Amino acid sequence: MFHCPQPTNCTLIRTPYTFASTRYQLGTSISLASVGNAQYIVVGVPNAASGYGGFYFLHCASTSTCDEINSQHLYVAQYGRFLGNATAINPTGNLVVAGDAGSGLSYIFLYSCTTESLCTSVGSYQDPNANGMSYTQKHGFKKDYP
Amino acid sequence: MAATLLVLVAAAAAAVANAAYPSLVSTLLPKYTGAVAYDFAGTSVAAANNIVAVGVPQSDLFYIDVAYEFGSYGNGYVNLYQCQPAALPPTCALANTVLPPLSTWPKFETSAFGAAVALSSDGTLLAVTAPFYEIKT
Repeated sequence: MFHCPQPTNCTLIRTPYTFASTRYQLGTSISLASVGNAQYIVVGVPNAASGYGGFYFLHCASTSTCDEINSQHLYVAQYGRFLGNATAINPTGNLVVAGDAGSGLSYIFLYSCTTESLCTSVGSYQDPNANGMSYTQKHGFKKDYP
Repeated sequence: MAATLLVLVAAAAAAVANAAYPSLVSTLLPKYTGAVAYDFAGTSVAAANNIVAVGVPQSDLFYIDVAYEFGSYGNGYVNLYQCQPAALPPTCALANTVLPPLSTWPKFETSAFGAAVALSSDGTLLAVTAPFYEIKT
């Protein structure tokens, strides 16, 4: 993480945080909430090849390093899905939104994450046109597909 | 895939040009740096408080089994633009290019600095990822 009091002047303030996993596409997405002197960061770790995925939830206090305080992983092993391909976090750092794209199975998941409890799913949204079938399966290719 | 991405970047740049952001477009155009090396400008973006961050992970092409994959050997950068949205037309100027901190950065093979970027709401904190993709040979 860099501190840029002016865009022309950036200094490294957090040493790189390295995750142990090597198979997941670590850092495909990242979102940041700054609360006082601390930062909350959510890092998406989708794995498109396996259908696994998830995100890490980090807390960066005043020290130079960040600590993993939470994480969420879905082992759906469903081809084409990869939770964490996109992430967002609210300004107070306790609500995480994570995308879970897939071939006809796209979801958006909403999680509540705090420093005291595990991330829990508090809602989800699925594309109504993608409930288990592809668009062409539902509507036909020649007739309706643009 | 490279051609597709470059076309997408070019299309995005053209769309921005139509919206009268000439100074930003001129610096966002993709650079062709070699036979197998590309700058993927616009792979990630973030904006806050008149600051725009654009991740530019650099990728090389690797042949793996029967397909090509992209990696970057730890290269890439993030461009920071300072914008004046109240100007007519609104303008953005390149203010800084943030490079990976190679002295402390675990320069994994294929990690791509700038694949994802995030800014704090006041635009003074910049978080950058360099995702690693395992190459199987």
